[in-house]
Amino acid sequence: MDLLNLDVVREYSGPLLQGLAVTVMLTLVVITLSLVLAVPVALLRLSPRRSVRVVISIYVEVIRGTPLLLQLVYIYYVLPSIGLNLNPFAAAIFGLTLNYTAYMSEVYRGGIIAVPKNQWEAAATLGMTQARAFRRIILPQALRIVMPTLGNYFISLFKDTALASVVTVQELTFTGQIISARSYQYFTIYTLTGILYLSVGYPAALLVRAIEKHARGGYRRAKRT
Amino acid sequence: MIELIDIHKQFGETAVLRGVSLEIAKGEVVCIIGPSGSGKSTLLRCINFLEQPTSGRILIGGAPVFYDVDGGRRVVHSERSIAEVRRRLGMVFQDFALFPHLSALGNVSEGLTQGLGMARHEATRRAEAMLARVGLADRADHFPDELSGGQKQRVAIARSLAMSPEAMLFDEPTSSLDPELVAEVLDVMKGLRADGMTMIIVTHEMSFAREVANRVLFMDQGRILEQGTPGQMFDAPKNERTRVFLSRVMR
Repeated sequence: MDLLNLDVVREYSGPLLQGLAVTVMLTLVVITLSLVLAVPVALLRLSPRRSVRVVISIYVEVIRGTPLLLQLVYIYYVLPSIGLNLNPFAAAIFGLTLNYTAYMSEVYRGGIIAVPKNQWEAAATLGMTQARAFRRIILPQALRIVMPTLGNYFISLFKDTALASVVTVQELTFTGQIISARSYQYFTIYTLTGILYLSVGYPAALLVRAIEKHARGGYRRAKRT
Repeated sequence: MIELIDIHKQFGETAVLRGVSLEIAKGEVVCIIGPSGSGKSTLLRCINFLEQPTSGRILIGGAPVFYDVDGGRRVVHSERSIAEVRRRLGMVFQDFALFPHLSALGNVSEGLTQGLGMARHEATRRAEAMLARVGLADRADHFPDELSGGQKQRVAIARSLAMSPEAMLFDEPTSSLDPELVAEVLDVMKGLRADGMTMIIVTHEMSFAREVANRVLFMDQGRILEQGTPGQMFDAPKNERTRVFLSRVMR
């Protein structure tokens, strides 16, 4: 029995690669948005004003306490009833960003708190305002602390984009589903789908590991040879 | 030039400062000694508002800074105005508080570009000169992790000094150092004294205090119990608690 049908591979690799492209694009858009948006969210959660902290923590806890799958479905199928119509791709970006921003904001918050208090103080004695001290002194150190964790979120986002299929985004998994249902070549198509995920996911994981190693190395002069 | 009037500081239930008044003249070197927990560091940190006094007033150059007391109500100045006053006061911390992600040169120039708004090339030139002044011209591209404790503290001094402060505050600058590295830091501080820098130094280095101070303050339980010239304080302390403290640390 010929499980891996090469003719099928040839026939459908085009659409599957297209699906992979959508997956990669979705990942890159969402990670970029989340990496940026999570910083102000983290700062708001550290705000001296209680009301601000409460609002942000409700957002974070709702997101963390419900399945991402449900969040996506909710955005795509429920929001239109209050007049917010999003196309599938926009709904997926919105839902995934909302979700990853919440998680990453907690990571940033941990990183910001982990920077010693004397760094704020030293910056203050040099006449820096809080905003400037954050940008120039605290954030760079916090980023170094959270980089490994954010790297892992990047990898898991890449795989979580498969959930966008429930809002009919034709990313890699959904494309695989459509094609295998049409051709009955489940083994070939799903295996190929897996291989395609791995072909991007594994190098990305290696890259993240390299970044982790770099982040652990401390701050040193560039090696001159 | 620096005047503290009846400073109180309360941390929850604990009164750390209980009415400290102090006037420091331009060019004066004041060493603050006393047992740990006596409020020395808190007093120093009130001067540049790293700690907010619970009550009392702080005047620099005759003008009230950081906040106004208006009929018993405190009106804290804007962040910008507080930052401007802090620029005039250098601060050196016990644990250095260098920026680990910046080189020695970056540490010194950071305040110039980000605090004073100086152009980068000018800040770099000035930072190089400051590192040379503390004897670390050849360490400009080293990161804090690559420096010894004494070198780190000298970078920290250069960082403060670069801002051309009117006075420098030192919070136990040699307490985290290995004994053999203390001298290089104290030497830099002696150099500052020779240049006429106004300095307030919280220290456990009694022989250093005797050598450089114009005035020595003994603090205990949130108050200044006794003050005088090093000669008076170390050779003929009047207060019983000063005597007990000195006999313990001067073995």
